[in-house]
Amino acid sequence: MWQWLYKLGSPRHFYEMTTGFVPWLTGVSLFLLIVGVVWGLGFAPPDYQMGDSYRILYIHVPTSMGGMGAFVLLAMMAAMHMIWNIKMADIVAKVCAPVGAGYTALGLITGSLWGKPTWGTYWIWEARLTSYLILLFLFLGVMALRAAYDSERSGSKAASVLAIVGVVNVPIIYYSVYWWNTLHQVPSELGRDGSANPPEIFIPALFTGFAVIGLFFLAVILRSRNEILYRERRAQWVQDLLEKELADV
Amino acid sequence: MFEFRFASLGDFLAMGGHAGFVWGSYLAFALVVVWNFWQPRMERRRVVRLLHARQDRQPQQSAISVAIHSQQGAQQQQGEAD
Repeated sequence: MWQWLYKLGSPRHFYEMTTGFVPWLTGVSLFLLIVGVVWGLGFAPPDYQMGDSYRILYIHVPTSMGGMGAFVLLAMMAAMHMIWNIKMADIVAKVCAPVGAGYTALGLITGSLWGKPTWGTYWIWEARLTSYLILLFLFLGVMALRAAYDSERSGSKAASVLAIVGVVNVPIIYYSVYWWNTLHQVPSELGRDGSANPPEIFIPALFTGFAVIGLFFLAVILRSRNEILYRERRAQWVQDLLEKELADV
Repeated sequence: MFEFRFASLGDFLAMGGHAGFVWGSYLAFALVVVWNFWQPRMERRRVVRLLHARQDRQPQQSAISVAIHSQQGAQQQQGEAD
């Protein structure tokens, strides 16, 4: 286990280990996505209060949580890069930001499209929504900071510091619905009592949930592989790859 | 559990009067999913082309020859300045 993790820390091993994994992850994620979306849109029963607009939640909940998870991963990778100077951690930290920003933007867009028919407004400056908007700005800030330096090293250090400091926002987002009594509801207590969500509503959410997680890691892996090729361009194994399988791209 | 919940296709597309909100959300989601596949594909092409171009331009230059060339270049520039 530790040796496996240790190997993932080397760009070359990461590249080689993910080569065979990518098609599997793509297949499984897309399968889960199609099942979850078709089920959620057509076969799950309408909500007794929200009618059909609640079907937005099948993508709102996983993408919103995905955005927060992405920032936690970004901060962890940034810390590993700062403390142990692990190359691969910096690569993952770099590619995490745009993918996480995409999910966070989706969380905001789908949330406001759900809010209009449900709450009567696209946007309101309440605790959950505002702290979540800050998450998007933190992602954009991390990306901008990295891009602002000419040297890759300085840029990654500055971005890492912002990511480590900014991760404090994630628990604030999570607890905002408990600390401040505002518009956004607390999560349904799934499965704890029968009243929350019956299985015919809840099970499709599991499918879209795992699909969104799978697609997140897929995007991170695919982007990391490109970053590895570029950063390791002087290494012999990349030169060999270029001559063999990458010759006809 | 597996019955289609809408009477007709038109009914399905209407989403109980919330068509714009529901389909708009799923459209935004689809765009991000497609982008997450498309961006790495294009980026991979760009990186591979870039690396191929570099390989062709500098066929296995040794560090010493690079140093000599740059020194010559610097001397030449100085000569021109004088």
